[in-house]
Amino acid sequence: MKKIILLIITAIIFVGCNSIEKKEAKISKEIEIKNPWIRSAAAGMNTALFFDLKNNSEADDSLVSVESDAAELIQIHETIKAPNGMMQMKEIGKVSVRKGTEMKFKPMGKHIMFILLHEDLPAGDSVEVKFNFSKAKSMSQKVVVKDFTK
Amino acid sequence: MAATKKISAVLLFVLVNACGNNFPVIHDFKNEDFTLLNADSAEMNFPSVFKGKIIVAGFIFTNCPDICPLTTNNMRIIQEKLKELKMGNVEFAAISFDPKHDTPKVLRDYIRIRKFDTDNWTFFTGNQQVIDSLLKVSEVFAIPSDTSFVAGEEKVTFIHTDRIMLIDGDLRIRKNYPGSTINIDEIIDDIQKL
Ligand SMILES: [Cu+2]
Repeated sequence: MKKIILLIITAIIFVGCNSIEKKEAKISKEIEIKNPWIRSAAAGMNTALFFDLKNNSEADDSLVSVESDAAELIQIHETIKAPNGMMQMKEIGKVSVRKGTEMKFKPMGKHIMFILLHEDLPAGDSVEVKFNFSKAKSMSQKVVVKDFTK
Repeated sequence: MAATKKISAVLLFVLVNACGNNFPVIHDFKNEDFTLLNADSAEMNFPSVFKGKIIVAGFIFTNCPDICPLTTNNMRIIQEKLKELKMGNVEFAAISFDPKHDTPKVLRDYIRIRKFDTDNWTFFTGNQQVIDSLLKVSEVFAIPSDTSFVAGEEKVTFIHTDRIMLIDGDLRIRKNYPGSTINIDEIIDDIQKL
């Protein structure tokens, strides 16, 4: 009898966990990180992560931070034109993405700045990156390292 | 008849000069040399070390995550295209405006990780004052904009000119391009005409 109860409890936990997992998968689809890539760089250097951020949900949302073990410090940045053909970049806070729209993080625009890489990131490697949003659930993704896109 | 000849001569003269004006002399390095260090810590006099060759020179700092990698990538594409065209009279130079951080060792790491072809491409660093005077005559500006300490290490980013310059075999700057958005076909065409 005890064995049967134990079996039933195990089955309930198993089924329960499974449905939670399925629910998480559905929630994370509300925000999509498409075509992510990070530029190759050597240990100690800085580099940048690029991707398309798609908000499929019914609500406006924003990317608030990015985490990874690959670098000492990670910030959301934007490259901007300065006078006389000069360029600069600055840290920007969160980046909002309206419901049903897509925001591109691309060279010469918004990027995720990886400051002081812990290890070499040669092309072909990948890094685990976690994206945090104000509404959607945080999402972790493997990001491939590339030298250049062309 | 003589008048026609004269007119033709004048027309030819105007035409030759007009074409020549595609490449005005922006700066002449004739009496200037800058002793820089390459990635192997060897001293090289820029630009005279490449006298007789066309030089494609870009300005970078290795901590730059966005604009400078586009510049070096464009230089890489130009280098590949010229190799395909069998034009061997061109040298490439990437000059750091952050010599304090970009030591020869850092430049070696940069070359290794991005797999640059150093066959005819030299990465330069050097003494800050020497670099600054080279920037000045080249009209390239690099102003430290943000300094932060990350894990005890100083990280500086710059507001900087986005520049690739074309120098002829007589050490004269003949044309400037935006480094990150340069039209590759345009510079290849210019190199062939120079
Ligand atoms: Cu940045």
